[in-house]
Amino acid sequence: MKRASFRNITKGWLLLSPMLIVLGSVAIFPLYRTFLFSFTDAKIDDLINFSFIGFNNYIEKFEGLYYGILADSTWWNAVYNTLFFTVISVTLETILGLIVALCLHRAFKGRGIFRAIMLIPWAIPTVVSAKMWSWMLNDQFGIINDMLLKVGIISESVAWTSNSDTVMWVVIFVDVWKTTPFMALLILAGLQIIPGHIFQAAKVDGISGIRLFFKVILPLLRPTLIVSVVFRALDALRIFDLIYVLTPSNDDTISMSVYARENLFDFDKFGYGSAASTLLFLVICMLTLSYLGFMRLTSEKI
Amino acid sequence: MAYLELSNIVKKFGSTLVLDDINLEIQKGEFLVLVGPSGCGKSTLLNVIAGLETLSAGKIKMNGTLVNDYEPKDRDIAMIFQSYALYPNLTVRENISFGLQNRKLPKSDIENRVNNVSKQLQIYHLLDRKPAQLSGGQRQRVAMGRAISRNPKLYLFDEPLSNLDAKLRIEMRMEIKLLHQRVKNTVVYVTHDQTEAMTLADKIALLNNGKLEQIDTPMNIYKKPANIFVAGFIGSPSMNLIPIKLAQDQREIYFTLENEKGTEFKIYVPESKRKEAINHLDKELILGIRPEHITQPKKDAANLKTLQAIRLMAEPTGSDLFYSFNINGTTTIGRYQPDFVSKKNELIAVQINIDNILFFEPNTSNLLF
Repeated sequence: MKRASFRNITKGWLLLSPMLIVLGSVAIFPLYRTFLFSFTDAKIDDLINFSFIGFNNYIEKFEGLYYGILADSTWWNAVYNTLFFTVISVTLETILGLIVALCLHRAFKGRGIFRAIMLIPWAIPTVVSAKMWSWMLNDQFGIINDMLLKVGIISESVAWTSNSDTVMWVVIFVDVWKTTPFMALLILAGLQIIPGHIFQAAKVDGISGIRLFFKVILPLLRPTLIVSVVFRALDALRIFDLIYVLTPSNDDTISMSVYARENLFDFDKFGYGSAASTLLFLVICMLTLSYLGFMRLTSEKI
Repeated sequence: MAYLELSNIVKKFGSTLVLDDINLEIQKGEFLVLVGPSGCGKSTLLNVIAGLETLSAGKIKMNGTLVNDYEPKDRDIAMIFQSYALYPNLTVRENISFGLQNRKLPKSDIENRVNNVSKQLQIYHLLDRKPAQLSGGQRQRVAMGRAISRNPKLYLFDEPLSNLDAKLRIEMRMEIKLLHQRVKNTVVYVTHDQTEAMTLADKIALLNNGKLEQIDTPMNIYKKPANIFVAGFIGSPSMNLIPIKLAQDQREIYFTLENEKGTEFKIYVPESKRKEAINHLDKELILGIRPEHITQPKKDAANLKTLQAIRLMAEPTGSDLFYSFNINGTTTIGRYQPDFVSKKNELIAVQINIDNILFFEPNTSNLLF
């Protein structure tokens, strides 16, 4: 008995080891290196000779003034931008995704084709779609300004991606356009687990679609929605490529990731950038854990 | 006037014909069972009656009113599903009252109905539980409670007992029957189980390949199946179908049954059937005889003919012992007393009750006489 279970355990670890090695080399090790660099004054062109400077990248008091990321208003601005972007875009994507999923859940002619078409925005690489939108939104040559002018909704061209009133909303809009299909697909999968007879029973019982949705379908979808929102929020908190391409070096949209990259590569402050990356990781970690904890506390047993 | 009247119902899915010209009438208070093998269209027919499926052609009338274009909710029906279709996140109480709240009934009325129905079905103590905390039988009771509380004109059951284990199925079957006798509700009940059909129905409608094969009382269907399909479907074990040929000697019209050894036994057609038989002389026919009319020899009587056959398989069920023989090259089942002793491949006596034989036409498969 004991020998057998010992052998089973050994076998288990043996089978797990390839995955553990891969995970260790592509996830744990880089994370550890970044964490390490965040306590150094390393430069991008010299990652061998550096000295440890403790928490100075994070916060440092020098001649009565505070320096470091935690004292950097640009960082806090980036945190605010990222959180604002995440909350608004994930909320919109969830609501729109839910609506799309509910539409696609009904059997109708050409549903397969529609589902495929719907996924196109999600299938285009973000860099490509961001560039595409940046041309469409261009203040002089963009088709969006052209159309809005012709219809008469605006009277003069709007510089969508540089006007500080519109730029964040433009980023959110493009992200919603791109990611709603993904959300819809996740929710659709959740909808399809709900036994179909429930819908028929409700029809026979004369329960309206709206009542059925709020009393039954939405509660049953809750686990799916939690997972989808976590997925999307994790993604949104790391938002980088869309902002980097659509609105480069704009304080109104700078996200935590963009801030970290600027410092890592553009400003040649590798240690400082690593510290920003570490903070970004911690923020995401904390937000996700508290969200999941909150959901677990409020969820009712079915 | 019929309570529910289906005329010339046709349903196509794409180019597949699922229901082919169905005509049915149900009287008020009648228990109609739609039975047939899987894929015969019986569930589709039920969904058509419910309004969950649209018709390709035909008319549905309820109480004289054409309801083809009525929404399910406007047809005043209740449906009970095989999967129970309870709302998993609602309690039993909420499950029952959910549909009632829509009808703008006063709160106290809803409460009364829920209490009455749940006491009637012995689920009163479960009212605050969720479906996941109930057994299959309890869930089906809740589903029935949900239907009864609405007091609909018509109850539709879609294989309600198929998810239950054998013992519970028989218990629930009796309960459904009792309920029907007490409430006198009009029921259309779909099942693939012929025993359920026989025990529950006032009238059985047998479907096959989208066509109505026969509609009649259970006993009429059992005694006079309209064709070979019905004969084989209703009854367990199935009716024996043995190829024979009618001939005539100096005495009478007869057919022969041959055992595995090649011994032939002449069986004379009973008097009641002679008139018909004379029209089918020298023709290949199918003889239909139920296992309970092939037994061990008990006594001598004019209607009992005894022959010898080699006993092949034995299937004891406790109350009966089913033996199989090879007669005219066809496996034939006979019902023996459970204490009858014989060995495999032993030549034993087989007694046939010729009062209960039927003749089918092999090409059309229809019952002749």
